[in-house]
Amino acid sequence: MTTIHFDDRAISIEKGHSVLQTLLGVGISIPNSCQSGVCQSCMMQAVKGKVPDKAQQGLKDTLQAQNYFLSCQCHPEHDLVIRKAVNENPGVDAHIKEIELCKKDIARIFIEADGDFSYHPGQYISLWRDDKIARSYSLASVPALHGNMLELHIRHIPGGELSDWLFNQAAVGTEVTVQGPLGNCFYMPDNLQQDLILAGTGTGLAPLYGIVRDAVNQGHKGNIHLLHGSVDESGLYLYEELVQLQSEVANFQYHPLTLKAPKVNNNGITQISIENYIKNEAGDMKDKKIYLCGPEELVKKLRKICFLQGASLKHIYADAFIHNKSK
Amino acid sequence: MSTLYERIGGEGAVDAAVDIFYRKVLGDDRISSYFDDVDMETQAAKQKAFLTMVFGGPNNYTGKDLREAHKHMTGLSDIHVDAVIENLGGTLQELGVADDDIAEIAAIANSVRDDVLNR
Repeated sequence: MTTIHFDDRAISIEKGHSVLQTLLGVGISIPNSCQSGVCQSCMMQAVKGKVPDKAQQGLKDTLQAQNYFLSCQCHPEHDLVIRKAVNENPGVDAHIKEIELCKKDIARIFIEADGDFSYHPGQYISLWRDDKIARSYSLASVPALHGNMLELHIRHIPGGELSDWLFNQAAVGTEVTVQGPLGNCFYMPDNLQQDLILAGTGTGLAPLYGIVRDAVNQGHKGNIHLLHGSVDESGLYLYEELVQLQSEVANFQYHPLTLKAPKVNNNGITQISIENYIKNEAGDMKDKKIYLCGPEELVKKLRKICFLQGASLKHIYADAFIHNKSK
Repeated sequence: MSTLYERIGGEGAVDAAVDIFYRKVLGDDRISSYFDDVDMETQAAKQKAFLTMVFGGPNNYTGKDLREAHKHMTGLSDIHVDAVIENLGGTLQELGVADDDIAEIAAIANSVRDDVLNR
């Protein structure tokens, strides 16, 4: 008989029963609705063991890669260790290795995890300054290139409990805790020929920069277009690095966009909103993979534009930044 | 004798239909505003459940679910249901589904009209 392990309990599955039925049957509450493998509300994650293919049908490839499955469709043939879809792991100790101020209010922060920390570039973590205050930031680094060194891009929000502290008090050597990773917006090397379009504003560049470098490192062959939007040039941080990357990688193109006219000469900067640039320049998005990062409203708008321009929903990966209202 | 769901291609057909159908709905001025504030991924999963139902596939959709899902929407009327069924027909034509099958699917969609409109 097959056994599932959940929350330190070992529960055997009766023949013909799904994981969901089994858990509900012993009084464990798992959100669920259609019980037909459609609504995805009963999604769980396998930590150990092989999930049957049928239990992953219809899930986004980035969810499949993290062993998420639909518990109502899961009739395992082998033992499984499983947990709820959103899992709070205790976090890893880390310390600040370097703080690099890019523009007056944006810094690249490099944090070294004291142990192994596995993630996909583009996912996000919770960064804890102590046991009370944490904020989410996206990962711009690539494990294959940077090991345990995590790169975050942080905008200084005056009065923000974490960013104020990072900009004014934290220093090299300061200890922090890193928890996660979470998020489904990352590169999957399933089709190296597919064109990629990555679009974001502000520090939405962080996950996109991670995804671009990951794709290049994994030998992506299709075109990779990175669109970075900002109010004016002062927000186009990493401009030099990206121009440099463009000169080194033949299939990578950097499109810096600003709402205000560039001051001196344009240096390849186009004065246009990112929405209009996609509408006017991106053309048919059928069969392209799209990555969208930035404020929630923008991501929503861009997702709709890309979908209406032919992108398939399963090929749109998005990470919306949600501001903590309490700062 | 094969069922409607088998004839049109089962789950593969549903997957192919979701994007086309949803794109038509968003492009239709009569109904698109009802979809402005929804999460597109969640909505696509709901559309898949709806399409599975009208294609005669395995589902646990009930009239109560449909009433519950639509009761907070203001101003919903027959015009909007008509628009959805029209977009459904257009989607199926694009996918090359036979006219008889389209009629059968439209009839299933029509059968839940009163639930959607809470009548």
